[in-house]
Amino acid sequence: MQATYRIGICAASLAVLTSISWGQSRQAIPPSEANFFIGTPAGWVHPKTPWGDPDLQGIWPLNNAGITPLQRCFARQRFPGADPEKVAACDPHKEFLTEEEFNKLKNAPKMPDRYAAAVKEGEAGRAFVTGIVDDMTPLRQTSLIFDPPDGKLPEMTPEGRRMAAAMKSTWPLPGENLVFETYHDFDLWDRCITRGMPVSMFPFRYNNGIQIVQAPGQVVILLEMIHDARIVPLNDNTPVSPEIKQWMGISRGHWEGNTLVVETTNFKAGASATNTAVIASPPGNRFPTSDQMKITERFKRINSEYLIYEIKTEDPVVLTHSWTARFPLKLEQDYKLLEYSCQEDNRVVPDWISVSRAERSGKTTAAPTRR
Amino acid sequence: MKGTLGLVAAAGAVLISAFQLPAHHAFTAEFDVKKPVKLRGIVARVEMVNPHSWIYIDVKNEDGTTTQWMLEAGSPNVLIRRGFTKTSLPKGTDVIFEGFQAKDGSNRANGRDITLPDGKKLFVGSTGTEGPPEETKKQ
Amino acid sequence: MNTAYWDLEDHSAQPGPVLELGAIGVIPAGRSVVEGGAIPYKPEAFAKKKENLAKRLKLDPEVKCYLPGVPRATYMPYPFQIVQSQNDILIAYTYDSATRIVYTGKHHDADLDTWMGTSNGKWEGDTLVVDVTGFNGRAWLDRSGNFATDSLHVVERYSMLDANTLNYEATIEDPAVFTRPWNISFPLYRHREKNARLLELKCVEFVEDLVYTDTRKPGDLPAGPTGQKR
Repeated sequence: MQATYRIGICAASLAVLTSISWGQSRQAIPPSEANFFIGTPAGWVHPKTPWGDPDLQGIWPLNNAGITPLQRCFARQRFPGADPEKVAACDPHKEFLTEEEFNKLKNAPKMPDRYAAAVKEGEAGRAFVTGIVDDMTPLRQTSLIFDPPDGKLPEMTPEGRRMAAAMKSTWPLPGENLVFETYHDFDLWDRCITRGMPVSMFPFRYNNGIQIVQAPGQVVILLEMIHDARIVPLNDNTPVSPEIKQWMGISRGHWEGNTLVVETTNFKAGASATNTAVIASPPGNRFPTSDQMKITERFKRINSEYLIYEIKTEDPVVLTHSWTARFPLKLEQDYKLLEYSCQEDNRVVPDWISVSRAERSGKTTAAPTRR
Repeated sequence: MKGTLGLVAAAGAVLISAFQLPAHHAFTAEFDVKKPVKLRGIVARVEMVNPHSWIYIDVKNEDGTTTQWMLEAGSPNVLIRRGFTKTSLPKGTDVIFEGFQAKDGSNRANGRDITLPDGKKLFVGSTGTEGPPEETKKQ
Repeated sequence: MNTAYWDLEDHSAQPGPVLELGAIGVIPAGRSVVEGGAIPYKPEAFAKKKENLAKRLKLDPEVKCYLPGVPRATYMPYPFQIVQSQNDILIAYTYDSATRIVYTGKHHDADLDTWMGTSNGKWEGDTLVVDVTGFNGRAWLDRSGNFATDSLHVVERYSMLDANTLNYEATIEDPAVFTRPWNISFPLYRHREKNARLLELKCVEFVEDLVYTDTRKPGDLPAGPTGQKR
């Protein structure tokens, strides 16, 4: 009798536990705004590494978000097609396109891969020399930024504006006539030093490869562009002195359930937080970052193919408010991450200085050399 | 709704711009649209490097001397992902290059097109002979 | 820790290439990490090595913060980290944020000639054997002008001597430069500081005054270490 009772209790507990775990893994999560219209299928179980951590490993190229504007309803004067009336009529609180609008976007005539078509027709020469971009896919969200709620970058503080005015880049502000005389007149990306944060985690026109590699106690986010391995030790709360400042900061990670949370501080000030390669970014690559910047990222995998990526930037010196972007990334194991050596063959600095001097003096000279 | 259609159109316009933007920089800052060049030469070498690949062609001048031009091309990473190989443009290929000269007057140009002589197109994997790979396979 | 980063072969203590650094810049003595002692150069290649050595401040890619290549990255005087997943293995180096992925699944061809090559790895028992090809021939092997070309082929073997010591071996082959393949080997010691982590050395920023020579106006550079104008 007692044995039967115990077995009964065990069986009941087991049934309850089983139903909880089955319930969690069995129920499908349908597509909605909450998951960027990417559902979780019934019965999907989050993969784990052999040592028991949630497994996020693989190649998740950033060009999956490559044609989604950074900012919602952003009026870019230089855009040939941007109708000011239409831009003014844009709803700043509309976070997602409707299904109809999204289908229309996906099927827009420019969507099919023009490059592949060009190569097939024999325009490979043109493609080779004019420079081509990574494949881009449309997303259903109207901007990468979700907070502030109007989808725009927050205003800068007076100190932020002062810092911005002192920044340099090869990308001009509207109406600006740039002069290049020394390497100081270029930005950190032009100089092949770093793309910095947060923009290294945003899409560029090409070389968007990112690969996540995990080991016990570590997660590393490998960036293709100017080769960077962002090392994220897990559960490491050893203080790192603010005297140690790095372009990519010092990162620490921990798991919240199956979500990887990465917090990064100890930034070296000076990189631009934005880059004109991200559509609907402010012009000129002059968005300052201070050494008080803190970036918090969340990586949440929702099925075998997709994770939702979130990145929040706080900077009390530069920003009046934090800003948060969120977008899905897709696993693409066939994406070839290739070496991006930059400094080794960077002609931008000497060539642009040569051109700038020639323009200013009215003389032409042979292109300068570099060691 | 007017607003949302406007957004779709803007996204479409954005897409065109994205494909036409040069790989790295504002093209007109370095190269002169008023100095178009059309050169015929032999490919001396191709440097598949970042941030830009470079194609060096030896152009024969009227007086018999040779001038080497360097022509800016895209990031090799993207080219490889799109099907180019490191030998897509072999040394010794006779090509016609169209582009714009650098504003400092040096023998450096940014490209608009590379074709084979007689107007034939350059195909990925071309060895300098005419015709796309598909047609060759039919033989 | 060895001094292979200065010179893979036997070397006595000697002054370094920059006088003003004084004893800070000396080259300490070191014993060869090359099995058999000497690198088997072909005669014409050895002449090139001697030329490299004579002009090393101008020619050594490390001076300009260029990528170190393989195997040089392994014995640079800064830590590196092996991130060993159940699949691909990532090696992250302090110097110039250089990185390599060692593909252990599907074989990856070298689509492009690169500084760090393309690495394919497999396990032979407890030894990781990494086959590296696709080099662009521009990296050096150390600070003494030892070099290879784009026909370089490196096979590395990583194994544990004990829980905190790695044994590193590499076979270096380049028929354009050497008369036969040759091996290097040495131990590597795990950093055992509590919560050790790799720090950043993005050195490009520190060499710009050196690299962009023609684009400097007179008076642009700060004075040299002994107050001299540059």
